[in-house]
Amino acid sequence: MDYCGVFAVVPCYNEGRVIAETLRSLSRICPGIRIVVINDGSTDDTASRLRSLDIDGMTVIEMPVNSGIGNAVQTGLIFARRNGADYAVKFDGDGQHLPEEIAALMTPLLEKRADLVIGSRFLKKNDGFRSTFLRRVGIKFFRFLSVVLTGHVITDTTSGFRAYNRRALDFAAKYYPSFDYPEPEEGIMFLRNGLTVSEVACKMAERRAGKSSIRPLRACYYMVKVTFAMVMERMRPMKTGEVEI
Amino acid sequence: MSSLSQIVSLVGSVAFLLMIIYTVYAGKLREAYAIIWLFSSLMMIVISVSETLLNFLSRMLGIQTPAFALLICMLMGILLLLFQITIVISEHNQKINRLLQEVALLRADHREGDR
Repeated sequence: MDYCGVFAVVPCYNEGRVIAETLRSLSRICPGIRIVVINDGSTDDTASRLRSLDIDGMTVIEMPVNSGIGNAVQTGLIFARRNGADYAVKFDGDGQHLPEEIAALMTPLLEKRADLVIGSRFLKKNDGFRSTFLRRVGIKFFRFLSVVLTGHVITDTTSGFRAYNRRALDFAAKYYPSFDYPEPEEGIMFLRNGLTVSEVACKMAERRAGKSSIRPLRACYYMVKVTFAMVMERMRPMKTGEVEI
Repeated sequence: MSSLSQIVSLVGSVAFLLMIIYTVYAGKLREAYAIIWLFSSLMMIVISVSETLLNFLSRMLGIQTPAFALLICMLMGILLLLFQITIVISEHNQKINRLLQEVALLRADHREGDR
């Protein structure tokens, strides 16, 4: 697969231990891919590790302050858009996403069947890491909610492994659920606004470094907040504003 | 508490809840910040409706009039909400300051570049 014109948007927060390896492997397995790393105000040695990396076609964006993954990802998507990207792939900096799966992920885009493609861990049974039990319960709930709100089945609503075509990039650059966990809302937003969302079965690795940012107490707040946001997003009218990006 | 004041309280609480939802719908209030307000308005609705709960609360607080107990609860709730808002503002101040630094430094870099 030719990765020319494909931008990998890699948000990272305190991934100092694995970021170098993650990026090197990405650039090796996907030659020609433009890598845009967004350091979301990391407090560890992520910044210095990124500075000492010498990878062709890699840009490092340093967020002045930590503003959440939604904001960081949108910054990367805006950068890709402004620099002529045909496609963008959201790729986590912690090594959970596998570069080998990018080609499969992008297939629906290349075949012009979808605007946004989500890499799902649950589309078919595979031997990849499928997350903790509690997280799976949450994912099942959001899957149910997605069907109720949009009539469309999204099997892995919280997957951050996503690919965008130009149309999806344009939309996401203008409207992205900022703040903390944007993934479930993003799915609803795209579907509500007439973009085609498709899923591809993907394997993911177990998180190698950093803590999962969801702790049990926050999980409750997160469930309520995201549910509310998803319902609101479904109810809002289609976005028609002329937003300059 | 008389049933009239209960009805007034209920109507007011429901109106407040609807206002919160509408403000989020219109994009003026972030969902994350709305959660605590939604929770508060639901509590208001519950207390407006449940005379038993209100009587229990006023006994716990040692207040004779249940309506007064409601007022005290609401005031305490408002105090906590204001406190939370102040914390958020402090965080925002820190982020804004950091941003201001970056903008000022970018401007200085720009001027150096022009020379």
